[in-house]
Amino acid sequence: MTSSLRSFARYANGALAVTLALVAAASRPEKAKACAYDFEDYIESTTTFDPTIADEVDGLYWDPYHAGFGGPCEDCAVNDALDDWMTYLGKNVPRPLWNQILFKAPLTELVQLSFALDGVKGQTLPAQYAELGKLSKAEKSKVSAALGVAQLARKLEAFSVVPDYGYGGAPPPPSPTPSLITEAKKGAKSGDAFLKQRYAFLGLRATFYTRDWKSVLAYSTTYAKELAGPSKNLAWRTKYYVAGANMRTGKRALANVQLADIHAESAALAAVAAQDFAPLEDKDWKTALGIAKTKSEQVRLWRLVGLKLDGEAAMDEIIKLDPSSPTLPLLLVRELSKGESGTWAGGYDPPPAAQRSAYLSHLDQIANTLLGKKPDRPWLVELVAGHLAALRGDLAGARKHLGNAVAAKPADVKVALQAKASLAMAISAAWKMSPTFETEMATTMAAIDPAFTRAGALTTAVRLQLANAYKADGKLADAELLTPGNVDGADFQPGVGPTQAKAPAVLHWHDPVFIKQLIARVQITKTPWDKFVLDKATSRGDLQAELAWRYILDGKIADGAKLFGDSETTDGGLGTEPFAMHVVDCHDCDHETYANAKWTTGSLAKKMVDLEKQVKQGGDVGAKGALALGVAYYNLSWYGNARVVLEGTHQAFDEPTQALAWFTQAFKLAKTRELKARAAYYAAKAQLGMMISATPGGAQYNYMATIPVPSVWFTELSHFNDTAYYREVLKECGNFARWIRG
Amino acid sequence: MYATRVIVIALAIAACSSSRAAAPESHADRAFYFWRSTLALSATEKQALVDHHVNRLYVRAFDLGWNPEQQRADVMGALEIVDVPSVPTVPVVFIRQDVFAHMPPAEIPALAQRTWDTVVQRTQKLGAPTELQLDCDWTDRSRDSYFAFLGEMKRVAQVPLSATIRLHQIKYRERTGVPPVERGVLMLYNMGEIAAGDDQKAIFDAATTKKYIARLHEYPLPLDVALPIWSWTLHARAGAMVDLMQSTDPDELPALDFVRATSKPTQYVVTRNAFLHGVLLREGDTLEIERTTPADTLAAAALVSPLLSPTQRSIVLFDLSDRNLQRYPHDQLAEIFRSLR
Repeated sequence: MTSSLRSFARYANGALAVTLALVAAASRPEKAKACAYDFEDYIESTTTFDPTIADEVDGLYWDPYHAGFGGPCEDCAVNDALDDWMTYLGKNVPRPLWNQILFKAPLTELVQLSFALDGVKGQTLPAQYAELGKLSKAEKSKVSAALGVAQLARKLEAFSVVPDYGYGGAPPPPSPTPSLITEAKKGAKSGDAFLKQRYAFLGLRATFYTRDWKSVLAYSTTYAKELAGPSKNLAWRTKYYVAGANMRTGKRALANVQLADIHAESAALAAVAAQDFAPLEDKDWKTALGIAKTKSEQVRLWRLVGLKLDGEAAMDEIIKLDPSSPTLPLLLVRELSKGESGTWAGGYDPPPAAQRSAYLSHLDQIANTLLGKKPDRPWLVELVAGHLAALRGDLAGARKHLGNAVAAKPADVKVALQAKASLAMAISAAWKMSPTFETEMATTMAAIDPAFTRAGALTTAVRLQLANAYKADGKLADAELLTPGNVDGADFQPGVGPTQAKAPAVLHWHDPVFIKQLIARVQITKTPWDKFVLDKATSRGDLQAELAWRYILDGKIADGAKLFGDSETTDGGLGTEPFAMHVVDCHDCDHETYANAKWTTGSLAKKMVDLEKQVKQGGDVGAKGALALGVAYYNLSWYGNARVVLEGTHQAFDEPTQALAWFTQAFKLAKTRELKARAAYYAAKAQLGMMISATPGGAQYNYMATIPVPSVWFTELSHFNDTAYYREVLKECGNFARWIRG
Repeated sequence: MYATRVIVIALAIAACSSSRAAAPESHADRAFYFWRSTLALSATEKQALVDHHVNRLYVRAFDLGWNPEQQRADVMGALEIVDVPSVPTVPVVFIRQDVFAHMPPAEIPALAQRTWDTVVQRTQKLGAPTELQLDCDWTDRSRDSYFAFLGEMKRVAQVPLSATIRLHQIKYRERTGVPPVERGVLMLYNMGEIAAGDDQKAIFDAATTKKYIARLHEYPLPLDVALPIWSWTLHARAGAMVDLMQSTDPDELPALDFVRATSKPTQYVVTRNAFLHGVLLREGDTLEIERTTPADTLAAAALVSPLLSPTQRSIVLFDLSDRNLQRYPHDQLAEIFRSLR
């Protein structure tokens, strides 16, 4: 890390810390799969304990290594500076105007302003600063003096850019000229304590940018009195620069002690102080603990270790020093979130259950130790202990701790809400198949306000746990309604193209009996439990449509058509032409051409019934019927242009097995050679789809060096080389042409 | 017939390699990777460049990573150049895969332009780049974006591009594609997921390598070869990996007063909470050393040697550091450089 450059220009720029966090992440020891970093698994979606309940300053949650732990206070630095200046300048100087002057106005404009306020002949106030013209003479004089500070600060900015991250950063800047430091020192001797401190601080910064660290430390000693006040904010900034100089002169232990102090006391600097805090070796850490004379100073050091590096180890150490430290409940909450989400392990995959369990068990041990030692915010420790009990399925323990928390904070809505959420987790983890459990779960979950920050994660976690319990108990309909996808698993999804995922032995959604169970279950809505189970469940009409499709795909076309005729069954437009077929498929072309086709699911089913009757007539008429049915089934499969029809249902399918059967029948029934040639080629297309689906790695068939050859049906087609359709295929289908050429 | 010829050549090379006196002069260029963030070579490192007639130093210029706050790719961990090495340098940009998972296709041309501008700017002291290397473990999901980026880089940089090629990208070439660059650098290290207590070596494992290289001779790009010479320490807690301690020299562990050796020769256990190179070790943690030896490096070279198509190539050792040079005496390093043509 090029730390000598990186620390520049942090003043008054809290947003920078976010980027610094990223830089820090880049500097961490790489895992072997460094490229696989993933920002998506945010902690909010994987935890059920609301950390905002700790009521800490958001900046304290800042943690560059764990997404979801908040960010730095982005406007603290600017607000602190403006607060100081407003106190000094008085209410007649508008804050937005001074904000403009202090942070945005170019140097030339600042100079012009000074001249105008000082009454220099021919100099006028720029229009946007006209309000300053209304100030009294004394006020104008004060603003003019303040402008001197702003001008010097603006001159220093050229040396305070951060050159080594972000695009377009300039090369490392040269050192500030000695005249700037002299100007600052001169200002630090002025009679006004406020301006003295500002100038002295600018002198410190200018010296810092020379990278002569010993001079920085010497300067801070020489101007210690001026730098100490009146602004506390500026005093902390001073300490931050001094810590930086100490770090660079090898006084790591002292620097870490100073950074821990800054982190604890200055919200504006907390993020950057945490970033720079870096115990390195055993020796320097022992020295730091030695410099920190009092227990509270030592706690500060461990606090930052806990926030940045290792919460568990820090809690163990802080308990020895001060069990009533407010840091302990905070760390406990943070570690609970990490433990529940598995992010403490820092890996790309969730850690094994046994490790997670061991981690949570250690937290439980800490929480219970704390409860015996009069901790700060005992209600919060009780809540954490209750939640930990909930996660391990200790319902009695959870009730006890959660009850204690609510009793200690009876009027606190957040505590009550979290207690209910934790109780829901406990009930689901300790689940027993009984109406008592069902009722308590339903009423507890109904009381969770959707605004609860972890409502989504809680609902997902609870419903999944219950779905698994109902599945294990053989109540498959309930399991599926509690967590859609539960009974068949999420790994295998039919109808999304060839996949390497293994299909489960039984696909319940392809079983009419299971779909009928679902249809029956969604019509039972008597109890709170029923309402809970059916929350956001698939409607009866959609389920009947699923069943109708199932019948059709199982070859029971008449049964499917009959069910589509039921007014309760969901029916809708197909948005495509299910009977269109080409030598070479073009899904996008067909979707565009037939987007407004008038087919509905019901009318397609009726047509298929008619075609089935037509097949029975035999001969070319029957062959045409079979061909059309084959086309419909082919198009409904993943390979066809009507696959969108079944998207969003559970009946989508990949392999055009039914289509091949109908094409084969068409081939057998056809009397004319043209019709036979067509049937043979259509059968070849269906066979090709089945071959791709059966090929290992078929999901990548777009990249296949060689497309499989459906040789059975290509051979049949080759016998019809006197037909027009054969010639058409030969012209358009490269795969066939290559095969014919040998 | 062709396969037989390849095997005969392979046997000849293997036979020759067993005797240093009979070793043929290698025509491969010699290079090192330099992966630290401050380019300031030690005297030992400078001497190694001279002694081994090193032609080139591949220097990590910066990383590109996704900044979720700003929703853009950002430069991270840029190189600070203190000394200019005595040999020509090639800047390397390491690209985290999250960049191409998030980067809108329309912004790829601008990303390429900014990346090139930044390379030029940040490596100004090293002179105008004459080659650029891109290092990213792309997959079939990110390949379209990555390859589009490489295409744009080619357009804006106007210098030859090379790209790192990992073993899975050799084996699954049809899925992952072949990057549109002038050369590839076959990375013969980082064998996969690292797990505590796993006997499979993570830096280089011959058995794993064999599974991936059967089609190496078919690879359509001229390939340089990157070989490992580094070691690291695996930090584990309760049987689970905590971290890779890349800056921890395995040789320093015995001297620490807060670790003790276990019955396993490569393993130490931590006896009290203590910081080591910025990592807080807890009592009971284990430190497992994984060393790459000269024999490992030669084995890696011998595995791929028969499968490489004849071309002018570079052997690039990862990475140049005092520690690695100390463990790889001059003669052995020279033998490694001679092991591939």
